[in-house]
Amino acid sequence: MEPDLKEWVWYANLKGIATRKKVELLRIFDSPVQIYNADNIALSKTGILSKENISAILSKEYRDSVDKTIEEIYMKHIQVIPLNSSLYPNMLKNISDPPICLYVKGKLYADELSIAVVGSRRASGYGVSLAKKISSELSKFNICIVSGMARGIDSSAHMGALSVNGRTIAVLGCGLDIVYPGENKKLMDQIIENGAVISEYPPGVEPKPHHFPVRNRIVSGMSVGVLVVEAGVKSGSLITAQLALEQGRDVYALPGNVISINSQGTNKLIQDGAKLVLNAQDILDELNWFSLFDTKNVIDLNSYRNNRETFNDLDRDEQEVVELLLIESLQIDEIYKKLSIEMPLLHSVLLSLEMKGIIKRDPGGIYRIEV
Amino acid sequence: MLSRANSCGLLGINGYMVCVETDISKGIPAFDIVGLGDVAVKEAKERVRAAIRNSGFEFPSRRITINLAPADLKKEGTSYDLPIASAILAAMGVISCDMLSKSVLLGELSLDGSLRPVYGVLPKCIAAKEMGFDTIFTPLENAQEASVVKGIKVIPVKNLTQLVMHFRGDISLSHVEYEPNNEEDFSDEHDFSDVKGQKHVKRALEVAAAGGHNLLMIGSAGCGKTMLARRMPSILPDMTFDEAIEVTKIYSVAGLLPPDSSLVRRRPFRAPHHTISPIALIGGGRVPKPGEISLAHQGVLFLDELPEFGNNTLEVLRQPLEDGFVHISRINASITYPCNTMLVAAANPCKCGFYLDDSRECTCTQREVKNYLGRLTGPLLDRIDIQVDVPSLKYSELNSETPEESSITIRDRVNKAREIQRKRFLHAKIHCNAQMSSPLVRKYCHLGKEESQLLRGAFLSLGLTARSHNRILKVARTIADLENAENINAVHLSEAIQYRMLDRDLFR
Repeated sequence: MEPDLKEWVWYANLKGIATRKKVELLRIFDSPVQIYNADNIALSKTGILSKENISAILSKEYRDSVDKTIEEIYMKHIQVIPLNSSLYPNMLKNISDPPICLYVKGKLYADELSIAVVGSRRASGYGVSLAKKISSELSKFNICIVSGMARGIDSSAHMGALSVNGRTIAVLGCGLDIVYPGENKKLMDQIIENGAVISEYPPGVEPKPHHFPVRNRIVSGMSVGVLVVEAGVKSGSLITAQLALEQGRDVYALPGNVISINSQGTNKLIQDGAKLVLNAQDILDELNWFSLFDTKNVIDLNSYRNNRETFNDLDRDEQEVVELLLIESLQIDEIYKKLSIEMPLLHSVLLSLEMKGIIKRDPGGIYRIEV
Repeated sequence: MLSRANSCGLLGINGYMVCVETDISKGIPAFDIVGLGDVAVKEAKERVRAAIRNSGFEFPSRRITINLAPADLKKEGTSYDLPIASAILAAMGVISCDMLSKSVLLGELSLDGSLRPVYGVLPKCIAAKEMGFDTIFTPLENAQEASVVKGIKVIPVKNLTQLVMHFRGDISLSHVEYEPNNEEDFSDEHDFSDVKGQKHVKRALEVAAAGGHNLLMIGSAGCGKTMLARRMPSILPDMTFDEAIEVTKIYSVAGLLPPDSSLVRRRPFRAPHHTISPIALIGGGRVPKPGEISLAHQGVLFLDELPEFGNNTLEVLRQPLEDGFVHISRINASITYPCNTMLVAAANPCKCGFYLDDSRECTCTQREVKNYLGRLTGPLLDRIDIQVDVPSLKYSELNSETPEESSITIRDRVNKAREIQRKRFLHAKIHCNAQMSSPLVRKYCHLGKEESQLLRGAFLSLGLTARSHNRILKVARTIADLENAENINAVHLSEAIQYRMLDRDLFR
């Protein structure tokens, strides 16, 4: 344990003082130890603290509770990385309001090229598939995928990275001892194994609605750019995109169907000047990644199956179905009506295509081309 | 004077013989009925007394004791009125005891001596025939029902006087013959030709009807799930005579047969509301009565809004669905009712009903969506062979003029498939593919090399659960039967796999 860890945790836990002010105070005092030991006069001399701020700093309550937090951190095998640590991510250090302490499970590196992949919790099959695909491709170039481990796009982004054993970081809006949403327990374990789960909240803090917008600044702050895969008009991902702009990060957005609720936010982002991204290569181009590696040998990034040559090995019925689905996603009944394939045979054609991984059946029985 | 008359009691859906012994002796005038009768049986003495007097006979003012033997079984209902009255008249010498000993009597007496219909006549008549009786006297309204049983003469009786005159040889009552009601109207106001589109759902219902498979439809509110299910009876295969007898017995016991009806010829379709109690669903009561699941025996039990049913209600369904019978034990009796029922269920994808609908927005949270269908997972879903999405229709489809297939065409195909199954299971006490046990599945659902590979591939790539294996094979067998195919081929198997959508992590 570092000698001043207790003071760092205490300082991070102080309530009622904005993070920005805490950072400013740290510049004046050098370290939390000095703030811990400062008296009323020294604190008021700084001229930036209100009466309430000072009484919070001097209050016995916070000083007493810090031991319990420290104990919990040890019991739950959580690592604390304070702002001055050499492990603290450099990108994050440079934003205007970096977390005073990061609680970490897994491995965190100070210098790591990361891209945030975020999006709607109620994602469509299209969004889920593309979040997975683009994340996994970026991972193959040793780019770390940062997201929020929420349902929908966030989870898919993590899964995409994990599927190729890439590094991925989840930023939570609650203490690290709480799994939220609960169904992501297994995913969280895998992320810890292959990357890190981090939070600015000490163990035991419940997920509260107002934590998530605050958490989003860490997601964008850690990354060089933020890819919004799907977002509705009021989606929290748009907050992340806004924060990313304020922090000087790139914002990428995946275009979608104009009518789809899930793409209204992303299409608007593009209209407002976000970089339109069709595949992982577009992001790599933006990062000038090609100057470092010869990517052509690694994977073909333009591998969407939307040209007919890809389907030459399919039989005639299968090709007909695929050509229909390339235009739009359809229910089995609509396919039946447009083609002259009998219902029993159509079932078998669809199953065969699905097993080949060419199409996918979404909830509601809608078939679409798998990317 | 001592006399005996024969009648029948009910134990579940089976009848048993009851001997009505009457003793009239000197003493203070009294009228006692012993033999564990319920209130309706005890009150018989008032009806009998009035009916005998009002029919113009003298009621003895002596000590009358009636014993309903076997005296250790509970008797209920009003069908003992007629045998009691007849036994008293025989004990007085009005009619001869010999005549009574060869026949069985059933019927409730009105105070003026006329007969009223009773329930449970068919099973009682079967019991009487099995015990070797050659004649049964029943109220007029029940005669058609009893006449279904071959090998026993069914004589309808209007009133007590008529019966006495018959026994004394003054008149001769004629027996009735079974008249199969051939003109019974099978056409229904509900026909599949009314339903536009939804071709794949109709196909799934056809497969379900052909093999007796349980089926679940999931789709947003207003997409036509109920409309489709209501048309299910119109494509159900015709009942065989034995099946019809079983169903009629249950309806007779439950007192649900309309007067003057004979055999129930149509497969029952029961659609209880989701507020139904577990007991009403599987049967019960102080003296257990059949529940909805037994009333749907050999037919369809339709549960609309499946997730809205109480947890307990759904849990009690599991075992009867698997076994094909319900065993109900109460303090008064322990009874087994058959319930070879095909379960057809419908569910919305979420509480508000619009989760999968692109035209209206769903107002449920993700957790609510998950919890809603989550209530159905596990053992109950295991027992549902066919799961199918019902998409909501677009306006253009509703208005389309394309003619749709009528129920009769579909039923013809279903009947042919059932005929194949009937021959297949001639020696195996089951009726349809859905009822096959594991050894039978191994015997009749043999897969070729290509098909086995397909199934293995599907399990690996689509995340099917192991328990769905046999279900898929049974459904594939039915699909092959619909095509009159000897062996299950890849196309049959593919379709059966497509019907396991809930196994495929769709709602996660």
